Amino acid sequence: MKKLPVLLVSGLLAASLCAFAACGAPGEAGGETKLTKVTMQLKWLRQSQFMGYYAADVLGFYEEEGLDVTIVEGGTTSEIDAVESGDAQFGTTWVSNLMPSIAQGSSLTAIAQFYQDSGMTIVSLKDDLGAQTRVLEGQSVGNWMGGNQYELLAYLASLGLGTQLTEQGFDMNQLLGGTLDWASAMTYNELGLVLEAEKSAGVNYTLDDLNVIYMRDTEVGMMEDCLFVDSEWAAQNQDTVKAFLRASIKGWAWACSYATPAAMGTAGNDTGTLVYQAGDSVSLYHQQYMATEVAKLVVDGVNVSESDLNEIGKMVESDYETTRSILAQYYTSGAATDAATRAAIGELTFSDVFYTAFWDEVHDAVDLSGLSSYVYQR
Amino acid sequence: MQKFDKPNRQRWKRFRYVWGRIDSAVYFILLVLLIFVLWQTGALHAILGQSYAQLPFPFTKTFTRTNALTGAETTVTNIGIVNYAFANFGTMMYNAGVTLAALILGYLLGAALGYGCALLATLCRRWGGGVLVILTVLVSAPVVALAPAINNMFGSSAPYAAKLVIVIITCMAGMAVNAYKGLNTIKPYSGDLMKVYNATSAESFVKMRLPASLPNMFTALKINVATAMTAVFISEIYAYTTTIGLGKVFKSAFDSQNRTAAWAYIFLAVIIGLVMYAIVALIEKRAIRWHASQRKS
Repeated sequence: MKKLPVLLVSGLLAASLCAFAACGAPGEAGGETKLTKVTMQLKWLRQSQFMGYYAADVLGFYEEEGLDVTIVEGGTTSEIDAVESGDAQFGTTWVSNLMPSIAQGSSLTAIAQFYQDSGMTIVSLKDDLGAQTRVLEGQSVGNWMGGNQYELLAYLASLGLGTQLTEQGFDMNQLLGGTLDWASAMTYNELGLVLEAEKSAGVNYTLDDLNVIYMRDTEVGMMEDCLFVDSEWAAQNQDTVKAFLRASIKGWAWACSYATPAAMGTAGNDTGTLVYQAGDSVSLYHQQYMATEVAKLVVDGVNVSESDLNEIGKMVESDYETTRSILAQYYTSGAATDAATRAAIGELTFSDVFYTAFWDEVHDAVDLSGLSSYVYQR
Repeated sequence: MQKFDKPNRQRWKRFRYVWGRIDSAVYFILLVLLIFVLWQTGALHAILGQSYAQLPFPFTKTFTRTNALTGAETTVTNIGIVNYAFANFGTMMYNAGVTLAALILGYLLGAALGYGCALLATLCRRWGGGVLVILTVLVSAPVVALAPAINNMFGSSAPYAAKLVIVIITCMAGMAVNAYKGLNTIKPYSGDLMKVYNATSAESFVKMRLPASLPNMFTALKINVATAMTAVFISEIYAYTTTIGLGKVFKSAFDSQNRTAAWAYIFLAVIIGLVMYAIVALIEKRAIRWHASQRKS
């Protein structure tokens, strides 16, 4: 009888732990069993960098195609590992991140290239360096490394400068604090962080206060966010892949068309608001800023026609050639045996990395005439 | 009978004596060899459901793969974990040295501080329990959460100190709890013996409690080898101002899809841990020869 209270308490604790575990486990899908469940693994946190997928999810384009899509944010998981192991069926990453895997024998393949231009820039403050159009000898250049540094290395080499990069954190404090001359910044993300930073009391930095070198204006712009799948899974689920691609193209078309908000910082029927409601990893203002910048990378031009929207996701072989040649020269994992991987990357052909048949088949068939009928309801 | 003639019988007896001493080591080596053979031939991949690209091979291997969508065949050569290790031996040893500098110092300091806390808890009973509880609570936070927090605090200005602090914190609690248990578990007759010899409380503390705490201390030291290795590895993964150290190089390899390198560093960390454990076990064998755990079974 003395042992009863102890047994009772430990039994209750165990039962409550089991209840918590059961609550966390995925529940039964109620009702609809016709929707195919797929998972999409993102490269980074929930932000407008992936606005096309969020638009397709929130506005119901995936459901129209018979898919139940779960979008998983990145940052801690490797998206390459997630798709290879089967945890996710679709993933998005930079082409320069995908190619080393393919060169080492992985069965992944890219099926759409949503980002037509590179969003990488290097930024310096005019207050510190004066007005500059290029990097000069002796100036420190920063990058986050881990696969983001190839364009910078190629750019510095094209200027004849030494290819020494300083490691940069994920905020812009090193640039703003003066410890770094030139910092890497994505047009849609870190550049916005600088523009939101205070130059002096109450006054923010503007583009006129900054020297910005856009990698897409140079010869060394590389391909960035693509959509990739495991080719073995894709070969057995071709209809699912095509359905996902159709809905994603429609999602990106809507996201690019509605990227400009009526008023920055105010919620409305725009992509930034949609992404902010789906994932508030950054502020509404920043999501809207990011959406307007990403749209410039996905579709060229301000007045975009419907046929331009149908070209979203196009895979261009000449862009691939630039990416391949830079990566084959500069790929590094910090080891002496990289030479073998670089040689393998150099031998990858366009069709080793990109499988265009799905996109060629579906992109014109996607009906993009009725986009205005989809209004984002907050 | 020919088999058991005198010279043969002596050889058989000697063989059985030698075999008795080394049989566990031989079985172990055979098992390791079996795993490596399964791994290199690809059987392990089939068992675990991994493709040849997901799990690198221990030695160089060339294989062909067919693209399921296009039907194209490509030949791929995987360098192999062991071959990679030998090709990059210098870099790996350098990074191991950087990590060990923080690991060993943190491990020893953590052990010393932990033992000191246990001493404090034993000598000053009123405050002692509180100190131990605080330590246990502090170390209950998972290292994966503690490491970035400490890196944020002073990791950019003093990366070595951040690594050291993490190892010290994680090693302290285990040592403190075990040492406290060792210091306060007295066999009844030992206490009586001290009384019989009219020992002062200081003498009985030094001559009875301290040696009695040694077995528990060694238990904690053995556990702390793994804890310290994990802590320093994770702390280096989250460091962003340095580019050296096993955790950092592991993360760079992992981020740039160089799985062979990542596995090589994992193996190196394991080997370092095993060597440290063996050293502690050897010291334990000499230091507490009198303890029941050191009896030959």
